[in-house]
Amino acid sequence: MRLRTQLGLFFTVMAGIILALGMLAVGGGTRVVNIFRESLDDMEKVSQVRSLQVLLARQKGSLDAYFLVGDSTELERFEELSTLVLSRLNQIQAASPADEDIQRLMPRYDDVLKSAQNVIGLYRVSKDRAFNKATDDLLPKVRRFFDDVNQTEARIAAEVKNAQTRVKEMVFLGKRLVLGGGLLGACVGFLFALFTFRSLTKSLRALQQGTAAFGSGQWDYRIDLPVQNELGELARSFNEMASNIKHLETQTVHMHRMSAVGQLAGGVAHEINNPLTGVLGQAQLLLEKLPSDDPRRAHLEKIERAAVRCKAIVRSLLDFSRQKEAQFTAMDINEVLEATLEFCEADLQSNHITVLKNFSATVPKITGSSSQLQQVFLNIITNAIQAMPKGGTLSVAAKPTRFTVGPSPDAPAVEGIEISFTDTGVGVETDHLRHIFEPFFTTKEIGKGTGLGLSVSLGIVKNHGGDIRAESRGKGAGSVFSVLLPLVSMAPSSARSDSSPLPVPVGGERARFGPGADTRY
Amino acid sequence: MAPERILVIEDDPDVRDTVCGALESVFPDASVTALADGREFLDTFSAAAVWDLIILDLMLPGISGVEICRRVHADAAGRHIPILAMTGYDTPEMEKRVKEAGAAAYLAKPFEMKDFVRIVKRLVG
Repeated sequence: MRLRTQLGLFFTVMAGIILALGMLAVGGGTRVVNIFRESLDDMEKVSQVRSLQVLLARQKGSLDAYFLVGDSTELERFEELSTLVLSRLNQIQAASPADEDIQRLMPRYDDVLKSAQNVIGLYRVSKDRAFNKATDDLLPKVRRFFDDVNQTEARIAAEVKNAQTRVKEMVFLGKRLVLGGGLLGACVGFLFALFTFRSLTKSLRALQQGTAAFGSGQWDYRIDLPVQNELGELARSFNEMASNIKHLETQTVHMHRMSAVGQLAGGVAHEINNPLTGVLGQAQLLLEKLPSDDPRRAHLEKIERAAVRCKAIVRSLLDFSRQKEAQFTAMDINEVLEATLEFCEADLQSNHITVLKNFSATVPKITGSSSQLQQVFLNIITNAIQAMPKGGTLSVAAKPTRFTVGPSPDAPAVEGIEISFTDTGVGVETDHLRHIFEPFFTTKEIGKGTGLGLSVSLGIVKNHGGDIRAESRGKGAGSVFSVLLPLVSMAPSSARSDSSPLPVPVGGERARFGPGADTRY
Repeated sequence: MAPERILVIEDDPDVRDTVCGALESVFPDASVTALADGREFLDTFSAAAVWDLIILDLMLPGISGVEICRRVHADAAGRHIPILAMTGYDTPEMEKRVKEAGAAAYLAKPFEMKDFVRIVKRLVG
């Protein structure tokens, strides 16, 4: 589970334990206080009953003394003590209204007192048999009453003791619970920490091994961490990043190879140009020598044309391989398009692709880097070729247009040109359309396309102040790529080869694509 | 003015042949000397040598065409000799370098006969 959840669960459990312990403590405490209060009441009652016992003992003593010596002060004391006993009994009864035994004490005392009064009366009259009988009756009554009182005292005292024991037990239990709860909490905490630590260490080790292995060059290494938490997500992000880097490495290797090929191209171009000089030169020398109606001229003219085409192809190869940082100059976009198409001619033909050109003559000159734009057009044309493996049609059109750059609808419209490339190939799936300009997005197999082309192309066009738009009606329905370029491009100031805005003528003795309009494909 | 002595320095035999054939076609009366190596030329080059036109390939063994151009142009007697530089390694940098070294004209290989004729006529005219 997620670490956050784990932590939350831990805190909840701990909070639960603490809450439970707290509630137990509070509940137990309240109970103990209640027991205490009760036992205090009981202790009060006990002391009252004990004082009653004392009074009764004294009262009996007085009565015994009176009967023994006939001293009237003893009788007075007896009477006084009756009052005290009665008042004490009232107190005791009032304190325990629900206690039936205690409630019975008063009437019993009354009864005993009456009997005593009776005996006292008989004693005054005469100490004869009636007195003795009455005394014999009184003694057990008194004794019984005294027993009752003693029992009551014993009972209440026992309750007090009971309460004390209960409190002691509860305190003991409470201590045990707190200890147990604390131990439980500690165990839960320890187990949680152990579990978390182990799983974290395991995950961290996997992550560390992964990054170390990848960092040391094992770019196929992927972290295997199928856990469903934040660290698992980290591992998955890492793997994605690793795949992108590996992809980038493949592209870099590819680009190095292309660069090496590019560097080779210069030497190869030169090597081919020498024998080509022989072919073209000798054909033309021979043509000079043949009469104008000689049928053999046709063959020589073919040789001548082929040699001139070779020269143009080598020229574009040399140009393409020499690309350096952008130098913005004025250019005729039709020328750039023609040059690019010528460069791809072999590919287009071998894939049975018909090229339809619709270059408007009213296309104005624009400012930009022709080598970079050639790269953009080459990228789009190459994609189109790959989209039509069984052949098809590629329509290339250039016309003036107005367009707005950027997503804001308030952006001003600029004058410029639109170059559109329409193919009849496999098209782009609607889901993919918004991703195709992303750096690593590609639908081609490994090794067949780097996924960098369109994003680089978009970068170049944006650098010129323009935009590329892609449309496709879906799989199998072909695609249209439109490159929009403004007349006045926002060229980066450092890339300008000269700061003059005047157009620099392109062409002359060093025409890029051969001797101009004479060339036919 | 028709040139009398033309020098061609080019190491590729077929190209050498083609250039000489072209010169023969344009200036049939001129005497054309063809060398495959520029070192030989520099060793014997002196104020006594009078050339009306030098056609110089740039990619030569030993010493480069640009260097030969520079030396000839630096020489008091050689400065007035028009030099046509030719190369199969046609880049703007190459053209710039060889023109700075004193070449009067630059022609990329392979060349069309009409361009060759136009240029050499202009150089000796």
